[in-house]
Amino acid sequence: MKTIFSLVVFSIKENIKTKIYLILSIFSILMIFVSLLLTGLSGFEQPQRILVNTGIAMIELFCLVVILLNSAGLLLQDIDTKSIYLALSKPISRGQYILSKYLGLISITLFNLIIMSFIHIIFIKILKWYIDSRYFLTLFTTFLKIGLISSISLFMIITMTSQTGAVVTSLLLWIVGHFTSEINFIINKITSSILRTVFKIILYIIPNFQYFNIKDYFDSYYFVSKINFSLGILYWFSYNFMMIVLTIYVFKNKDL
Amino acid sequence: MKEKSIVFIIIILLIFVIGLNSVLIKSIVSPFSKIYETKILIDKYFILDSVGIIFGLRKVVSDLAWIQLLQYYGTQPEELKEEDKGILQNQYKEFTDSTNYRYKSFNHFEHITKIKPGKYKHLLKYLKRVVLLDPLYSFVYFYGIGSLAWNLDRPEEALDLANIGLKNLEFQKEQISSDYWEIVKYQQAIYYKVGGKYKEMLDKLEEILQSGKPPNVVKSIIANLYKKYGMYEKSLKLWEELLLSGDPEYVERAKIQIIQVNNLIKEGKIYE
Repeated sequence: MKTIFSLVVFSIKENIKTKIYLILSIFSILMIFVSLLLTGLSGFEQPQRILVNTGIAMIELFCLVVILLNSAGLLLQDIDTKSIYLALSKPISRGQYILSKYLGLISITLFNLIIMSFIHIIFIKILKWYIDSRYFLTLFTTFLKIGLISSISLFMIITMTSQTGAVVTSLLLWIVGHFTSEINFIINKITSSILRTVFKIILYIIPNFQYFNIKDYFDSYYFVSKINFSLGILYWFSYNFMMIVLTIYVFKNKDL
Repeated sequence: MKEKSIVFIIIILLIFVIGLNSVLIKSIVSPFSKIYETKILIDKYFILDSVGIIFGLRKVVSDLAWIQLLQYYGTQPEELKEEDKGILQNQYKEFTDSTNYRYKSFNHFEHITKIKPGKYKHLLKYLKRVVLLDPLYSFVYFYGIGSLAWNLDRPEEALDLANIGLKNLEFQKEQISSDYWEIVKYQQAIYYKVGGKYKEMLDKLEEILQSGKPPNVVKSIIANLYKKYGMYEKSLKLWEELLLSGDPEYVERAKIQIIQVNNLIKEGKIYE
């Protein structure tokens, strides 16, 4: 456990040290300023709504880009700098290595979320608007989404060993994962039952981000109340667990 | 752990995830139209809207659409071409005939601003685009219905938007003070306007005012109507409210109106 913790800390440090992280951090703060600009453009008509929505979206986008680029970059960097051999030569299993990478990624997501939402909240308070529990619920579901894409992205980079391929595939899954109910509808139109079953299985394997995408309707108590969070969290844990076990399995059979 | 056991665990997890996801997909209750139901109304924003939707950023795109609407409605209306005028006059005539609208003349009607009918002819499209992206954006319904019905005197378009709003907010039907019932009030006020029952229309608009939800555009419409029907005290109160709101769109107008209405009160003018 102590070894994993040390690796997680090391992974967080590595994440923060990267140039990509620095550039994206500056960019993200600029983007929150953009949300202020948009707020100004709306004049007196709903400026707070625009600031809240744009800010939340920027936080999510920033976390997504950081995770996609860092998960792909860091592992390849470890291989390039041979630091992976050093880590694996110590009594650290490949499983522990992957787990620590994943925990490092979600820790950095949490860190980013806290910092960015803090800046965002300051802006919201400057505009004398309020924040309630729904705001934090939205941030929590954003964290869940990013946590899910982290394990997928890690699996992709281990399987593909191509940074571009891993980023593009993860991004595609991110997009498709927001359309599960639409795809489900199209599949239901297929007349052949065998084909329909095959496509349904494929659909159910695709990560369901739609379930966690409450930022698009978080201001409606009605729709938020319809969400079964316990089922969603169970899904999140099982999907992540499956992806990590799968990644460990592939990594164990990989020649480094 | 043996390789076979790991494969077995992965298979079990996969089956579990598939089963769970099949339940989750069925349980998703979303306020949004499905993508295949979505008709992108303004072609030039197709890419922007699509990118927003596919990245799960609907609310942001709807906010951008809202800003674009404000820019469109905030600029000087373009002059109508002669053929467009003809088409609009015909549409207007058809509508007034079918609803027994009191004012048959295209240029003589109950509008209370300087905007002539037919101007901002794409406003409904812009409004529909915003509520298509975010059907729960109640403010847009209030703003749009008020502007279309009274500022632009296009009650048929206002009713069209009201119907969309009622459909999208139907889930609020059980709550008396919900935005759903607010739209119903707007709808009723429009029907009174179309039927020439201005007293009832004003009563309904007063109800809207009392709810505390109307946008400034609707408040200014009601203030103008009060002035028009000789209710100067009420009009003055509303203009003062708009002045105090600090909304740059209405501050200057409110200052002028306050002077005018005050003069009318002093002169003791009565509506004829």
